[in-house]
Amino acid sequence: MLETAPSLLAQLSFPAPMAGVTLFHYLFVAACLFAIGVIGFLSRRNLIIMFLCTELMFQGAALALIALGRYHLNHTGEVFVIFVLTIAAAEAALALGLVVYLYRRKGTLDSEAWAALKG
Amino acid sequence: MQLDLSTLFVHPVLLLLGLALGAIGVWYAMPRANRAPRELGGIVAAAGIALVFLGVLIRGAEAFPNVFFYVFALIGLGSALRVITHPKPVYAALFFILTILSSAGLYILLSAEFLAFALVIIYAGAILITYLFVIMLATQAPSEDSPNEGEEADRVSRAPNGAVLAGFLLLAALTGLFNAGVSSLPPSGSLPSVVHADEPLERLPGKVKAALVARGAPEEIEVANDAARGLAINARPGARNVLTRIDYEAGIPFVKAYHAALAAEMPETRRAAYLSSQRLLRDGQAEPMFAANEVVEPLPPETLALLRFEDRPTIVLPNTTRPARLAEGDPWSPSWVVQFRMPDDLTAVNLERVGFALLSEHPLALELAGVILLMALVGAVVVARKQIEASEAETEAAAAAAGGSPA
Repeated sequence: MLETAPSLLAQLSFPAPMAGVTLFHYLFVAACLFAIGVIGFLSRRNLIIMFLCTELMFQGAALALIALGRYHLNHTGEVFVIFVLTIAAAEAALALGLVVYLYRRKGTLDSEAWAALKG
Repeated sequence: MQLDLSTLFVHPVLLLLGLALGAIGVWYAMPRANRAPRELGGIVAAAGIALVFLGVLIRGAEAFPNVFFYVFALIGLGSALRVITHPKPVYAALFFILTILSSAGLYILLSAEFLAFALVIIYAGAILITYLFVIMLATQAPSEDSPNEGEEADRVSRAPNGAVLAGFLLLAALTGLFNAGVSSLPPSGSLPSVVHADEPLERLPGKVKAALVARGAPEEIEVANDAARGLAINARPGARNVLTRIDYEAGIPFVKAYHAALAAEMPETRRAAYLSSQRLLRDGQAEPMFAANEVVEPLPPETLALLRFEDRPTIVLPNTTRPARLAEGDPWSPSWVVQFRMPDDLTAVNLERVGFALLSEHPLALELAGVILLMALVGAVVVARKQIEASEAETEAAAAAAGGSPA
């Protein structure tokens, strides 16, 4: 009898059970977000959109972290997402500063304008 | 709760088919010079993703799916698709905000309330506003002759075929991994971390006291953190009392007495139905808590308080009535978790739990994040202060090359 009690508690108490929706569902959505971000980053030519696509990839990673943290009933995943948010904010501040800098140089946001960097 | 993810799909071929359909749809929806039917692409992509979900649904039909998950996932993925396909950067940023909001919804479904709100505040409120500012600072005004056309760089994507293929392969590899490997993860119920259920007893004595007093416990109780036993409640000087931590078998009389006391206050007509509806878990089987015409013993007279929280009993007992088995060995190991469910305001909320995890387990990472933010601040200032001296002719040439009108 006693060994059934913990599982009962795990279903009753925090966090609420995932009714019908499994870990796979969340991981699939996260992977889709990440893949959409990759596609956009590879194919869009606007520098700002490219950075938006990296943010999409961050979103996918964060969702996977939270879902896995929920699955293991601990909060390390959520703590890590806090750092993902921190890095995203820092990256946005720096990258957008650089984008404005590049725009003032060439007058366009087209990443192909910097194709000379290919060497 | 047993999850066997490898059985979720009807067949992996269905998974690949759905992903391929989604990839074709994204490929159609990418902006390009000759106008392909892009709305059609969006529909095809949505159909592909829906097909994958359908495959999961067919197998998981016995548990009705959480509707909100599908709503949020659909909105999030659809608007993510628009982020990468919309030719106008401002609209792409606005669609990204929609993605953020629906991810916040998913976070809430995952009981991560704090991060859901943090996500909306930080991403939608701060980062995306910065993006919008930069988009407006760094975008050519539309020219006279083609006011609705954006820059050529926005209208034609660079290598949609290769990009979509790469994305599809990545997605197929990732989901294939889920299919093969995730099922080896243990189901959530088998983890010992259920001991967190009465965490606030150890970590939030002030909160526990406030909640108890609000529910009718004696005003003068002292809630103190007892290193050996977690929380102790001192109701009288010199007396040490323990809140609720009773093992399953020993707790049954208290639960019975509690429900009997509740039933005694009910109208006669409801009493029998209430008592017969109570269940007890025994050897994994739910059995009636009360036999017919059972005489329930009242609570022991030394009970300090019988606190009622909706349907959850919480009993404050003096130290002497603590079941003997709790005093020996390792009383707080997970197999000894009590069967009482703590009331909501006696459990740590998500914010408190994240705070515990952040400050007690990852303090160094917190410091490093602060350092990174400081470096980003300095870097942004340095980048922003840099003056670009481009000559008039250079600017005009660059603008002409980009296809816009000279500023």
